[in-house]
Amino acid sequence: MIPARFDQEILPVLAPRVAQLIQAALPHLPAPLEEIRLREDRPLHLVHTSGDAFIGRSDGLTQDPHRAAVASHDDLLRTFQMMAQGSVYAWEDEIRGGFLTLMGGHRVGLAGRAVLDSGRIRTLKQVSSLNIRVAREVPGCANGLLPRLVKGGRVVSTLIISPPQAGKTTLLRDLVRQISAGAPGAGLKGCKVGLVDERSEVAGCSAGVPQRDVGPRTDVLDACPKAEGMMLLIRSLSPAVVAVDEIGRPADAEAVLEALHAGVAVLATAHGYSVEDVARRPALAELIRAGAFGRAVVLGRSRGPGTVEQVADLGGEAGAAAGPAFGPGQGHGLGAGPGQGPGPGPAPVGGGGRVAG
Amino acid sequence: MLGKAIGALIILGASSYAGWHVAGGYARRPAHLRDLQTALAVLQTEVEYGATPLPIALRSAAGATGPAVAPIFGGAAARLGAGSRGITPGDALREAIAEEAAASALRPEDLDVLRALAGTLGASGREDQVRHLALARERLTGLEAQAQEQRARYEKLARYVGVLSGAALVLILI
Repeated sequence: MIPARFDQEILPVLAPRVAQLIQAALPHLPAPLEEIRLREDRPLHLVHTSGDAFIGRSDGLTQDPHRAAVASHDDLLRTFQMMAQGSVYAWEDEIRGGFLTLMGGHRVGLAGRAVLDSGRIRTLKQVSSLNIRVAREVPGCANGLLPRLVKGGRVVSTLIISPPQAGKTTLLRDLVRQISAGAPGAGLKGCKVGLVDERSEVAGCSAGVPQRDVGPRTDVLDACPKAEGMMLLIRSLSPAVVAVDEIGRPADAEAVLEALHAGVAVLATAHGYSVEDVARRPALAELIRAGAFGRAVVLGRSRGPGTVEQVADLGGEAGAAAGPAFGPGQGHGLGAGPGQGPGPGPAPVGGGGRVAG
Repeated sequence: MLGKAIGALIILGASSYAGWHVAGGYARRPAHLRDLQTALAVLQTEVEYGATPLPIALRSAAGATGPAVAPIFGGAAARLGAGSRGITPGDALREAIAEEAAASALRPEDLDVLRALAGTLGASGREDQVRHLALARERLTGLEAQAQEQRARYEKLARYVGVLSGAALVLILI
């Protein structure tokens, strides 16, 4: 199960020894690859959609960490330097935020020793853990969902709530692509979309140009802070819809409200397990109270990543019933690979969702 | 007799050439050390103000400096460019030094400064990089002063020694 464009986007930034080991192990993976984890002096670790495994010293995978190949200091150093294109100093802000983004939108999480400057992280040095999260493009994964986010030919402002690794970025990317291109099936004409891609994950920009398909009417503001980016888009690019990944800070909430007052629909994602969960976070609670979002989509992994657990109506109307996972007849979500079988039908969790309180 | 005269001329010519060559080394080394400092100054500016990625920053350093030193930086940039797998900036610079530095008048101790820099090149934050680059430039300034002094002392001497040792050899052989 080798991810698409793995050879061009991920292999070249791995230390040659690690690249060889991973390349040899990938064909043995039972499910699509989600993460490659390198930890100094510890086993090479792969996470896939149905579990995890270590890379064996000889060929193949193992569950026994003592029989696994170990990543050395040099492996980590080389990989980190190559991920930063040999120029760690050029990515200081990202490294301070604990991540780097590779060509193609794959995000790399970093851990190591933090260097502090009056109590705040100035940079990370001696990076000892790297977590490469393989970005996946699943065109059409929003097919089943999109009609429920459209009302009277217009996109309803929607908050996508999801725990990490449940496919919110993948879903957001496909929603942006379809809204931008137009979806006759959902009664939606293509409209201008402004995407603020702070971590370069959604559009996977290289030198500002999207490497992922985000639609023909989409403008991407790459590596831009969310709140500032939303304001900039509204002021100068006249979008009908603004899309933004992982909101949560008060400044983000303010920008979302600003967008709504300007008559722009907002598609946003937030970490969480349920609407109630998100409503406990002050900035998001305020948004929900103010009626900023018409719909909330809750994602989970109950039937693989990308399972739509609930579609809740936040606009004071009757709650929509939970529907099928991404796209009728599409199987169940992003993790559905050959052999996993199709599974259209109602999602098991949720029902008419309404925010409590 | 004619044979002897031709032999004497060949000996004199060869020894003078050797003297001139050694003197040339003394004369060119300070200039090449200055070129090296110029290249590092450009690199520092690119890193400090532009946060420019190294392949591009190394190319601008190569473009701004003299032809004897430029291939070291250009070579490192080319090694770091597209298609390079598993090569860190340090590896690239060390390889480029090994291959390109022979054409210059730089001495091993001059190149050691660059090799020391290679260990940290690109591997840390901006402030740290600037500090390492400034340190390397400082060491090169010291070496340049030393090279100037050696030039004043040995450049002419090497020429004289070349010509005179040739003449002495001719006298002995006659």
